[in-house]
Amino acid sequence: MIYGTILNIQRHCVHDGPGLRTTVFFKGCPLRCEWCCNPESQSFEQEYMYVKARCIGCKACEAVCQENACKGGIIDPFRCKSCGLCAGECYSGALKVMGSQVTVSQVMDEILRDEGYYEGRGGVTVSGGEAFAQPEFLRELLEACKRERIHTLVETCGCFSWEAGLGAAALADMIYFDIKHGDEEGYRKYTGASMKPVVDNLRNFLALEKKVTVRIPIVKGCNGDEETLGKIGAVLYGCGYKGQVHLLPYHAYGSVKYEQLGRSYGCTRAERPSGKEMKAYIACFRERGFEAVCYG
Amino acid sequence: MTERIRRLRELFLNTKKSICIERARIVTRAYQELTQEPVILKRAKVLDRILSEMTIYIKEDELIVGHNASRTGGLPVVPEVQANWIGKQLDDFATRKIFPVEISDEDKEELRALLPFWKGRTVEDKGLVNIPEETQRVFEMSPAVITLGSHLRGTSGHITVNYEKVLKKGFNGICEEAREKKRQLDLTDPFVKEKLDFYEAVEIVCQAACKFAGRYSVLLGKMAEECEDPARKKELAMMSRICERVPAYPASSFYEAIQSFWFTHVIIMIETEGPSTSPGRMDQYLYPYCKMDQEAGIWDEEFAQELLDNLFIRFNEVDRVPNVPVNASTYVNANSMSEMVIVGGQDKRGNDATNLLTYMFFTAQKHTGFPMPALGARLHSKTPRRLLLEIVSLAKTSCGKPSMFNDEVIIESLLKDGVTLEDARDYGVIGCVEPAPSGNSFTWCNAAMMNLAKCLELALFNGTDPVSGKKVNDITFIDEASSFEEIVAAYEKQVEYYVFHMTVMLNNLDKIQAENMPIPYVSSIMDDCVEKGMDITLGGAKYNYVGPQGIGLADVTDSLLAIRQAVFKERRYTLEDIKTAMKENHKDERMHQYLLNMCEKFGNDDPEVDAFARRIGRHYCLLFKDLKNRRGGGYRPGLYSVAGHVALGNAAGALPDGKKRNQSLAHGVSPVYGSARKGLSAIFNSVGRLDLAMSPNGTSLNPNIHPTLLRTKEDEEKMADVLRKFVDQKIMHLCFNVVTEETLRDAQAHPEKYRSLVVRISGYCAFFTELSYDIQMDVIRRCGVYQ
Repeated sequence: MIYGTILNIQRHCVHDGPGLRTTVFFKGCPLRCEWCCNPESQSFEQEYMYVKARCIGCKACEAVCQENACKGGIIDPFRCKSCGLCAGECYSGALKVMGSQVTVSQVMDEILRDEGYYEGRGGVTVSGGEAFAQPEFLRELLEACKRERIHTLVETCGCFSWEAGLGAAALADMIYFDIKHGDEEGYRKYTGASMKPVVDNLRNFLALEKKVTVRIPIVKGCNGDEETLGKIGAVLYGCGYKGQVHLLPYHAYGSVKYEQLGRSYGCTRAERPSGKEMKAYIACFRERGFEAVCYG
Repeated sequence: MTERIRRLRELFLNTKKSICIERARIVTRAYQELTQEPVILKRAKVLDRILSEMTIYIKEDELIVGHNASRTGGLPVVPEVQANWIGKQLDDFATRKIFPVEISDEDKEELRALLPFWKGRTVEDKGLVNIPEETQRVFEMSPAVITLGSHLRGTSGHITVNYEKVLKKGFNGICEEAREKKRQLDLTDPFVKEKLDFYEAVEIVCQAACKFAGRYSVLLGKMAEECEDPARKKELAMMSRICERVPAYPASSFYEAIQSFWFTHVIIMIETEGPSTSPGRMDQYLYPYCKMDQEAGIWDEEFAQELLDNLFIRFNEVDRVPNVPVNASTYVNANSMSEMVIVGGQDKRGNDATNLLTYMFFTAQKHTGFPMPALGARLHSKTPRRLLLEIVSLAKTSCGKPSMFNDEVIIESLLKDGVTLEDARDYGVIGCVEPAPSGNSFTWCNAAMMNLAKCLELALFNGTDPVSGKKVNDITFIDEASSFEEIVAAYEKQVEYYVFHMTVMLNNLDKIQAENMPIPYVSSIMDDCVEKGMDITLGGAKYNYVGPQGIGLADVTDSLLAIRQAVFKERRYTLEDIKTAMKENHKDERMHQYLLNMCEKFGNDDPEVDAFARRIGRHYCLLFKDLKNRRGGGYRPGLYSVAGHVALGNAAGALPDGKKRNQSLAHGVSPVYGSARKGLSAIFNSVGRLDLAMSPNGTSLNPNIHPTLLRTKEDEEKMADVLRKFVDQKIMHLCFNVVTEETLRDAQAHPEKYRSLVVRISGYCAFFTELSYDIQMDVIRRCGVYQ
């Protein structure tokens, strides 16, 4: 049996694709986007998240730890053996284990409870993390959905091995394809990975005649400028992409999570673009023949 | 929206409420003079005097006439039931913080002179009579397990009369029918005297209603003569002609039908203060007149809309004096006339009944945006998608409307209670959420509220109230050795004990109503009162029920499950620990967090938890199965709370589910605030598993929805999908507040900026800024449920 690592399953989602959807968040991503608003989804490993505001200071986490690794909710990664006892003792939910190992049938149990709400329009959205980073688990999940005649949409950053992901790719009904930057240098700078597989995989999806929608996070100070977006437009044109482009303006809601994970938020240059700027970016894509829409 | 409606709307918002003593003056004199009449005739003659003598007036701009007080913003006094508390509150009315109302010094003095006459004569003074000592103790218990409806200090209201009959026959026709019945009376009938009196009373009230309209016709005619504006002159002359015809004669146009409806409606709230007098299925019984106009070629949709808009404003203008005890620091009762207009649904043959007027009612609500009427929509599997989208688009305007009612479960529940299929399909909704057959039933649907959470407290503390420390009964005993099932059994026994005493009280109250406050006017237009020759309070209606509500379903469920988990499954805490936590208001924060976050909660789509909640709900509801009332019918329990979950939450102390002192209970069949963590579809699934047909008197489910979930047209389509599922899941009632916590908090801080912000409380809507602090906080706390 295959296990996957997921963060959670969010039911009754309104803004994750057509109709009402159940969104499964996979854990683990090959990219390290500077502005990432879901840092807890980056690592493939389970990790601890500590929300100080919820802590009642009972110190039960410290008392239960055999390794002396926990100090008031802060975990020493060198001592911690990831036994999870501390989070289990945390009744207020301040200290949580992020990520759980699940089977496809466990995920399906939850999905099928929402199934009645799809009304022929909605379905399952697989988000992340990077869904294709767990290609076998993804393939099994999509197969199971197919058996239940449930519509599936997979969100991807495109950074994965096509060979490994092909099986899953062929099963998905719809793809949301993220493009983070317009050139290799910039892509590498802000995500830590090469853009080459991304462009290749966009071509691959299009060759499979998948219903693909390209989505671009607009982060002022990183990729939110007309020059970069122009380059992305050129890439899309080069791939023969003809669909809609969703522009997602950056927000800083995720920044508090870094601290909760015991990390610091490095993306100080990121800013949310104004409504006026978003309009200019939409125009920028329209000039190149793409229909662009702002979400969020 | 027309300029006229804009002006009328503004006028309403700028009108201060004040006490109008005219009715008290007329009624007191009438009671002093009419000393020999049987009560039914006395009540008929009292109404005749009010309708003949009260000051009438016509407001500038208005198209529909007829008021229940002598001036705009006036709240009539009903001394027959209100004398006691009005007397006590006289000096407090104008200065109190909660629901202040103006009253002039002269009026105060006059009331002071009038009210002593009522000593010993009001329903409250007569009180519950000849009830067993033990029931009396339960009645006097404080904090109470049982909260009776307002019948001791008011009248029950809560009816939908047969408006259609007035439109079709006119009051002359109804009067003739009563005369005919009287002629046919078999003089050997042992109740012939009562019937003769009843028919005479019906004749008096029918004629009084016609006279009342006639006075308006004369006044309108006079105003038309004097009016210098030619457009208004024409209107006034037309209105004068209409009032000459209706409600005496059958309506012959849409305008006449609306005016006839309004007279019929407003007189109910003159006969008594009649809370929750619900117009019912207006889009159905008015539609023939829309067709009539269309066929005659005189249908003017724009004007018809203006009439409906005006009507919607008028619904807000009839109000009653709010009963707020002197020096009340908190006040958590509902104060709403809750006139439920219900549209859509099925016709008597089971076909979809949506029509042009259905949509025009939605437009009227969008134009006026006021709390009244309580607009409801009936949904069923064949409801057109356009109506679903219309519902969503209205909900999006943040007015807390419409409430939605599910034919698929309500019709089933009515059939179970012996209602015919035709009548069941033609159900309306009374007040907040109470389904009832239209124009032929006295469901007495707000009879009482029972605090289920308090029963649990009493079970856990062996009959001692942990809040007051008083021993109130000795009927159950549990200790550390008891099993979980024994604890549940103790809870159930407590509930049974109080249901028994509640029934004793309610049957007694039913008798008091019938003996002191028969309502011959309402009876004249309620099937089958005229047929039977019997007042509605005695059992004249075709269907007769009593509806007591159980409050705290989710709290009891979560609390018992927390005990099961903490004490029996995980053995982390003992029963004594739980009781200590309750007494100490969850002083041990770690244990409090355990109870709040680590235990199973209703509303998270867990079939086992939901089955337990169903068991708790069914236990309460089934207790009423074979109980009989005085009017020839039975009991119909409900699981809704109006605003009672706030007061009942204060009456109960800290609970094992983590509820602290002075926090409200879950309202209706909703999960406890903040405990449903899987979103709306999980809440629907959980509530759907409750099998709500067991609760025929109504349920309430009111989640708050964040406005960002309804931003685009696409979002609205998705919400329409959700409404389909509401129907499939057999959830009885649903209503959304579409508003953010920030908006509500801002409105609390700056009420002047939000004077027209309307929110849904439970089954009814109100201006947010007029609510007491406790209820405002209750609405704010709901924001956590699904945002």
